Amino acid sequence: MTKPLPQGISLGQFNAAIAEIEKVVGKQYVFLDDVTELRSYRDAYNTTNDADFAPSAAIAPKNVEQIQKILAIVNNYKIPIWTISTGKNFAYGGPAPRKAGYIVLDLKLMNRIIEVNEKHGYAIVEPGVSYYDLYNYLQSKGIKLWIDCAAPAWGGFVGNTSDHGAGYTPYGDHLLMQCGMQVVLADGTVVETGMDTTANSKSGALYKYGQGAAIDGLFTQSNFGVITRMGMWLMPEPPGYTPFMITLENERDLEIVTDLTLPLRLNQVIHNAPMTVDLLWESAMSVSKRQYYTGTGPMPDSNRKKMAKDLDLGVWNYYAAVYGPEPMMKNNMEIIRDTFSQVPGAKFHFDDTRKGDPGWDYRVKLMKGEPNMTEFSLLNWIGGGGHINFSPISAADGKDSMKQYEMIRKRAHEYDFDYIGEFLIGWRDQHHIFMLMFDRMNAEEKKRAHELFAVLVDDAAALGYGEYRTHLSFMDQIAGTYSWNDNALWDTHHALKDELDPNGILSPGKMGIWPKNLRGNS
Amino acid sequence: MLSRRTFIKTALASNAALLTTPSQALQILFDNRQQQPLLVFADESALNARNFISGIENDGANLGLDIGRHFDLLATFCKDSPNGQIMGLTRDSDFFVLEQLAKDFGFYTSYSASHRYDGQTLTHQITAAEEPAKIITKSLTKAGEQWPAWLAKNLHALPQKHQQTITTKSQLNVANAEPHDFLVSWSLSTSKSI
Repeated sequence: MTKPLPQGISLGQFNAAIAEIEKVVGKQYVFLDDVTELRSYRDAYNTTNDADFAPSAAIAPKNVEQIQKILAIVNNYKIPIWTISTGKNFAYGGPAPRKAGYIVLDLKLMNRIIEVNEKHGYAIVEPGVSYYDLYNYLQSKGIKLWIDCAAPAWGGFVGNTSDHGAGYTPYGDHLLMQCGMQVVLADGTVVETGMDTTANSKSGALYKYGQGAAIDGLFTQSNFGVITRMGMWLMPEPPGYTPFMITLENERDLEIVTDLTLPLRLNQVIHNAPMTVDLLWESAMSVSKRQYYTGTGPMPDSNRKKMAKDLDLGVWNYYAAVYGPEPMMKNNMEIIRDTFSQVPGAKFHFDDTRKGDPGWDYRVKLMKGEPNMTEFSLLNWIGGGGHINFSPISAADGKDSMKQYEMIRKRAHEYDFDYIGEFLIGWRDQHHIFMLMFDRMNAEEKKRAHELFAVLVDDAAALGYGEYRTHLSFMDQIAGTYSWNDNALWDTHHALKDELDPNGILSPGKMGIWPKNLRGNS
Repeated sequence: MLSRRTFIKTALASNAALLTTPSQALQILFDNRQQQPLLVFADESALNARNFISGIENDGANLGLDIGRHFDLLATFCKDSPNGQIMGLTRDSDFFVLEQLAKDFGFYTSYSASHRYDGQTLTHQITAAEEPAKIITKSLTKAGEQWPAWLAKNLHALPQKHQQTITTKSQLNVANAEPHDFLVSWSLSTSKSI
């Protein structure tokens, strides 16, 4: 096997840089073995070739000082590094770098929970802290705060927030709940954002802005610095919690429930982001496709109907929750019931009748910030399942829901894939997650999935939809759809990149942001 | 939580002693012949995995649908047993998650195989170092529909060394593929512990 190396770097230069890095972090925290160690830094779900995203090495520093020294070394050799926190960003590339040969800067050993403040409801954590870590910490200390985790929940706060991830409690907009961060710039300068940059500040995790430009967002979905610490607001445990599900009988109910939801969200009758989940996603929590259909291509309607009946599921399955004192929950639930009674066939489900169902159980946990891994069951829908997520944003508007659903389902079926998806209604927008599931051991199917994804990006752009996040393979294509005014936004990204990272060492190509020396090749 | 002491105590109770966790989640064995702790995962919901685990012990083992419930146990085993081996016959997603977690303790995949039923055909696809890959492929094929029992009897035959791998494949006809879902068997062992 030929060692993947960064573009323009010889094996001699690489080895020399590694020798210097080993002196900084210790040999045991430098991973070079392509057969074992580096295999786990690849993207098992890529739709092209494994080698396209194969790192040359991975290194795991323990603190900011070590990061500064590493940056000095890679600046000297002009070797690109790819920063990850817990490295669980699967469906979007996992721990793998954008290009072969990069060195992965793995921050998993920086896993201190620096502070939890119960009174003011926040935590300050390092990048290696996972959702499980903080949840277990809060439980063990009896601290009455909830986390808001992604699904599945093995990832961490810093990585997910940096990638604009979302969760399922009322604190589900993770970047909105972020407050204060520490960043190491490419030249080793350490920057604190917001209030923490004032002397003796005690309000770094309380007030987001400080004085001057609020720059926290610049370091998310970008490559302008290495985030080494982050403040996150945590929700106080509410006095009550009532999760519910509504099963819906017809495809077009998607449009109706989206429109019914928006005023409930805007007025905070529903506190968290409601999810409208399609039948296959929901079914995949407890059964596999093979149990209902052994043919090829998308599952036929007759099989879908039988599965829905067996599992007591709808064509769409709507999840949400209300939180608070009993009278408030009762009042809100009455409004919600009245609202959704307009949908013929809509059926409410609660814990008393649904408990024990895997799909219900894991959503109930997610909506109260209890980490779990059940959503990974989706990958068993087909044997050897891999997936990448196509994730367009739109207004929380029923017409947009239907337009996106019909467009994606039609294309998915053209390419012989099932439509497996869900809609999450945020404050005013909605995320649509189409889970493009393929057999990762089947090269032809992977190629077909790749082609479908590329077509979907263009189709969505033509309809006015942009994606909020994407897989390594499609970062450039999607960046190209954010092109208004002769690419003014990306020109701004690139101007910042060139100023803050002139050697282009930090995560080149992240979300389509390339350093000057690699822009021609991207 | 599993303690090392409990583990050893149980391990000494018999030649291939067994400890089942309170959640009945998985099985931990200690083979005195090899002086090596084993952690075995098997998914009770799959018929073949039940056949596999019954070849080791008659107790039930249920991974459940949330592999996250077993993170602490996996971490404890990895920390306490750096010379150990972790194996399983599970859903693909469970292997994927455990493989990712175990690597943080220096445990890496030394063997993996998919077992897929399609119509009347069973396909084993084995990834391991060349020599063991060929032997295992031949043995699984020869075992026919009793392949889970063969795996259970030959846990220690599964490769533990980390070498360049190849992928081999075998196909055989089976009488009834209907009740069987896609499963993967796998083995993780240490390369370098941090």
